Amino acid sequence: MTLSRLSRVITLVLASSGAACRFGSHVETFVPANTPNGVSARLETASGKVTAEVLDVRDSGLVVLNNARVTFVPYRSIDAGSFDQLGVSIRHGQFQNAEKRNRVRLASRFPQGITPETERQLLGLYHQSSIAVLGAK
Amino acid sequence: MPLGKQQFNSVRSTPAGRGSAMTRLRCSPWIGRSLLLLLLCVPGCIYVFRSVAIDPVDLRADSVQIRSATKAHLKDGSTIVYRHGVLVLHDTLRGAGVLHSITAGSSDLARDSRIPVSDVAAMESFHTQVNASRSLLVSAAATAAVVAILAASLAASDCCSCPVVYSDSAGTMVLDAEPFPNSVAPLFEQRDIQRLQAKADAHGIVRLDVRNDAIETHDFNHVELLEARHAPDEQVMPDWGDKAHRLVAVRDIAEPTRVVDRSGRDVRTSLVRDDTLVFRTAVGTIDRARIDDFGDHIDITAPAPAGVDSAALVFTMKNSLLTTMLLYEMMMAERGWRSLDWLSEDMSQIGRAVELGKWYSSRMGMDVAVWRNGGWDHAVHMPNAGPIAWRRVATVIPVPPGDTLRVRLSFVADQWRIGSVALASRVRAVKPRHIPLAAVIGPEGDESKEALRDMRAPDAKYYETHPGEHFTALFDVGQLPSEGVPQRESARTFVLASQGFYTEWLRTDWIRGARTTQPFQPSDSTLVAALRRWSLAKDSLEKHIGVARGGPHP
Repeated sequence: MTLSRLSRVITLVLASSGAACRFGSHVETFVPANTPNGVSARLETASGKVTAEVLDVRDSGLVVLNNARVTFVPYRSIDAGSFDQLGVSIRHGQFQNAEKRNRVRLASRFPQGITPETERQLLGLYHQSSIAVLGAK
Repeated sequence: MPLGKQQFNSVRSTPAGRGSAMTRLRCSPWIGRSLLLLLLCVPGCIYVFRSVAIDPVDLRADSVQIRSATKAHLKDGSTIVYRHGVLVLHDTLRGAGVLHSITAGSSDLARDSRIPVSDVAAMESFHTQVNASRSLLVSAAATAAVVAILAASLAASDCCSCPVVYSDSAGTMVLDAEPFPNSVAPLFEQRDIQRLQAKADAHGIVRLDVRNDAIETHDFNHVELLEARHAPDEQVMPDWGDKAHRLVAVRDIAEPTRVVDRSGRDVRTSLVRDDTLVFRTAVGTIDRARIDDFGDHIDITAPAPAGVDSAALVFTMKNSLLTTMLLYEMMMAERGWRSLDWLSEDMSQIGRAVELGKWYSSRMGMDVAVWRNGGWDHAVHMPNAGPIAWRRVATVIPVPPGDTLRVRLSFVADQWRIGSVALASRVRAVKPRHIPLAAVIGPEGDESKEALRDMRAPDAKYYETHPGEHFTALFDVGQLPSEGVPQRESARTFVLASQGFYTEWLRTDWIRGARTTQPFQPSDSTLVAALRRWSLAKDSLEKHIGVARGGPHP
């Protein structure tokens, strides 16, 4: 390495040493980017608070993995909610806009949707005969 | 070797990979460099708001190299996590990853593993992005003082690319030239020609102060002066539409009768009548830029010169800082550390450099068309001129039959600052006298024979300067004889010819704010993205930099 090149490297190191206040998520710590899991949701529903992994985003609600149970949460049952590291929230069963909803879908475990075969595997894994529905008796 | 006040060793070498380094002594520039480093390292209160962008991967693309974390969702419900990216090559995914099955656990995929694209239901890639406007807003609100300091330093030293040349004008050093502004890497090294305002002193010497006021390394291969003799009523300048930028002498310069831009504005006043006004693209035209339409144009109407089949458009112009933003923000800042690879690796590969060069030259610069037979005939393309020093240039255009000459100047929206435009009825080629570099004076007043040797000829030897350094180039042009000189050679104009390239240094905020690990891909969408940012930032940038450095056009 020539001294000229060394001086540039030193400059880079010095220049990068300045502290800055960082807010928000980074790809290296973003769970959906580094694991097969979907984004984590914190939902307030008529049935109580739910913290669960988002498996699928459907037209009428979210399919989540809640306490090892594959569960469907209808939008109408969601009073409020947020999604970790995504900066997306849901109020009165509605996302801020379609783009936000699509962002949650891309960060879910199955952005392509849950096929019947995938659903069969999931239900088998969690010893269920069908997807549970939040709030259903 | 006499040391005296000289305090430090720095190295100059031929550009990377071109021979052994030599050590030599220089002095005070370290002070300037240290100050610049200090400014770079001031943390202040910089708030960076970032988020992770998730982009679906289009599997219809034949091949694509994804360099950021990527997930592939297979049709059987399993998921592959490629934390360091993946290569989609024709019909297979290739790369190291981890396969997660719903029921069978996880298994590692080796680097050479191949997954058929036909098995993939969906893919998405992830990368960190910075919310620039929010970060800037909060940082600015919280740290107005620090921002002011940074802005001042930007205006003073970090504004733009390439060297700057000052010459003596009645005892005051004035900004006179901006050598090789388009030479961002060794493979883009080129000869640049720029008319000077500089005059010879009483001893027949032209002195030029060449400064490195940017955060860059400048490599000079060749510096010489051209002396053009001409008649007093002629002006000599480079033909900017000619690839070699040969010199022409123009005269019988007339004002256009009508000048209208794309938005319908009458811009004749700023381009013809008022030397303090400068043309810039209408805000609406910038804001309406989209991927298939990001241009602006100026239509010029003038009486057709009689008895000639060609004439010259004469400009005083320079680029806006849009091109600088494209280089700084899109090519480098967005890529953070990856931009080092781009500069040192990608830009040393001829294929990549040619790809960038072709895109750059096809989009940047200015196209000139002439109205003929009911349509616009493309006449000439003029390359970028640099954003700092005003250039006085001409371009030769055909004059179709008829009483009226109509010319259209087309360019990327807001890419140019035009101080004046006029039409010269007479234009002729000029053969200049080449005046070699006579001496180089270092910042401490010592003559540098090394610098003289390195810059005297276009060869393998380069003279390298770093931020804060400068030198004075001396040319022995002699006195213009007072008698016995033909009228057509009784005046003279000096033109700076220089050849070299510059290398950007990575900035602190570029490292912090990197938004992608993808290498820079020249594209129109990138250009439109740059225009979007430019639309928001141009006023403050030009306020701090343009006025401080460019000033009114000469």
